[in-house]
Amino acid sequence: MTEPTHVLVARRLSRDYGRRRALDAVSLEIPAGRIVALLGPNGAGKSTFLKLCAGMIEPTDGGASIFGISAREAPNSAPWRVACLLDSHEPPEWADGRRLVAMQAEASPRFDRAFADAFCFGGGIDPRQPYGSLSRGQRRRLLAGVVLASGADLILLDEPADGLDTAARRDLYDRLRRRVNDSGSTAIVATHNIHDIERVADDVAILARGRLVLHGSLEELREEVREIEAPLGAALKPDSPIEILARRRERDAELLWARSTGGERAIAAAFDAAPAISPVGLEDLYLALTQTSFEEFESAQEVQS
Amino acid sequence: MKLRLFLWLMRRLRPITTVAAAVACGWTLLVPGPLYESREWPLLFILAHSIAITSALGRFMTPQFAWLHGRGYSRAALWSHTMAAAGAGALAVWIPAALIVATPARSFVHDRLFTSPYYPIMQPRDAIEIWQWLWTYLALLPLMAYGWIRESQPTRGMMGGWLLVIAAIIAGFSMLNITRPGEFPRELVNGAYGLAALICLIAGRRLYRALEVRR
Repeated sequence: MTEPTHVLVARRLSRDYGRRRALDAVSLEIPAGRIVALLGPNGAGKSTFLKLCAGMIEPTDGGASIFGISAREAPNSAPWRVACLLDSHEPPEWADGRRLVAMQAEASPRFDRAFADAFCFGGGIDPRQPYGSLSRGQRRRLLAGVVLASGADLILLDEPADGLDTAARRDLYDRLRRRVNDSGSTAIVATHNIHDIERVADDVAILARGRLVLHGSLEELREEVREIEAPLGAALKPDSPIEILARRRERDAELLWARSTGGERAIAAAFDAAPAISPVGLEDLYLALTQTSFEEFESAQEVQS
Repeated sequence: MKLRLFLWLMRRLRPITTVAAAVACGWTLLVPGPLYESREWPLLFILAHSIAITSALGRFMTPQFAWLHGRGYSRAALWSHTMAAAGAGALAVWIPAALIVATPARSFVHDRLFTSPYYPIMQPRDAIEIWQWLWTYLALLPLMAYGWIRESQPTRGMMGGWLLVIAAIIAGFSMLNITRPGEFPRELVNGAYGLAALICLIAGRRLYRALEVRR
């Protein structure tokens, strides 16, 4: 059987917790060999998305498949192909590093022992030291190292660098990049630390209030997305080939974040009054997308449709 | 056999096993009179011990449970090793207690130290009773595992699962308490318990595939 080209395919993936919808109709496809930065404010649905991808919870609506099989079936038929480190997952305090590494090695047929020993115990962590006595940064390094060493095809990480110092964070992300390059595996990294992940990620997916508000390759977004300051009252010409991602009304102008494959010229031509157009960084775009109120987001969707 | 996983699960049972083994051995050695005269205490103890084992292994809302389920073990491996650990936890308590009865230890203590008139002639009668203890463990653990596995399903059915387990325990224990080993009603109760445990074991294994790790 041939491997599907996309490691992960989500179709209208949704999950409710009681009456609250944590994830709302998220659809996306992730090809193999990519690092995807999963961004979003607290409560945006990042962890829920990762749990659904790992097959840990049942979607309320829609579904996800990994390697061509239902994500819910993966823990039964291909468990070792997915390794995850979620923020709320912790081993017991009595477990020491040696034991954690040995357990992952037992579960993962492609476990890289040399990598685990070098990374997990390279930061001054004694292999016999109980997990409960490690600092937050050491704990994170140990658990992230175990997951990276697993040799899994899909790596799901939730704030893997939380508590790590600058050098250790950089080291972790560099090693993640190398592992993905070397093995062709795919990683989805949920984080609030945009600067670190931007350095190594290929793609970005931004969630806000459970919805996927942006997904694409970072390279394309850098080329295609612009911040536009348009005079109040400036109208978008009908059938303009630009996608309005977010908009915010200021006192004397309207700020828009738009995407167009035609570059700045196409964006300028889409307005009936000349707007100021400037490139936008990932962090600014993230803030624009996630701080836009729900109503504004809805209206932006209406404008582009 | 995933030895690391098994030892990991057994490690979680260590405090419970230590306390339970001490209590079981102490009681078995020292309780006066034939064991069948105080049969309600072993039943209550086995019930409490089974609840403790189930609680330690099946606390599915904890970060530790979630961590274990993110390692890459298949659900079938996790289920089978959990059940094996539960059984081993029960055996680690039952075997020393059974040995106290099966060897002359209990008989010797009651005959020589307490000068009980029942011993040593009651030793074979006591030896029958210990098999009922083992059977009770083997019946209770799958029943209780089924309770928590069902509770952790996406479509919860929590009350249905636990009500079934509680009803089976109350009915079975009431019958066991008023009957004697080898007599007709007790064998019927044991047979029904065994059948219920087998059904729960099969159903629990199937349901474990769809278990939700909500943490």
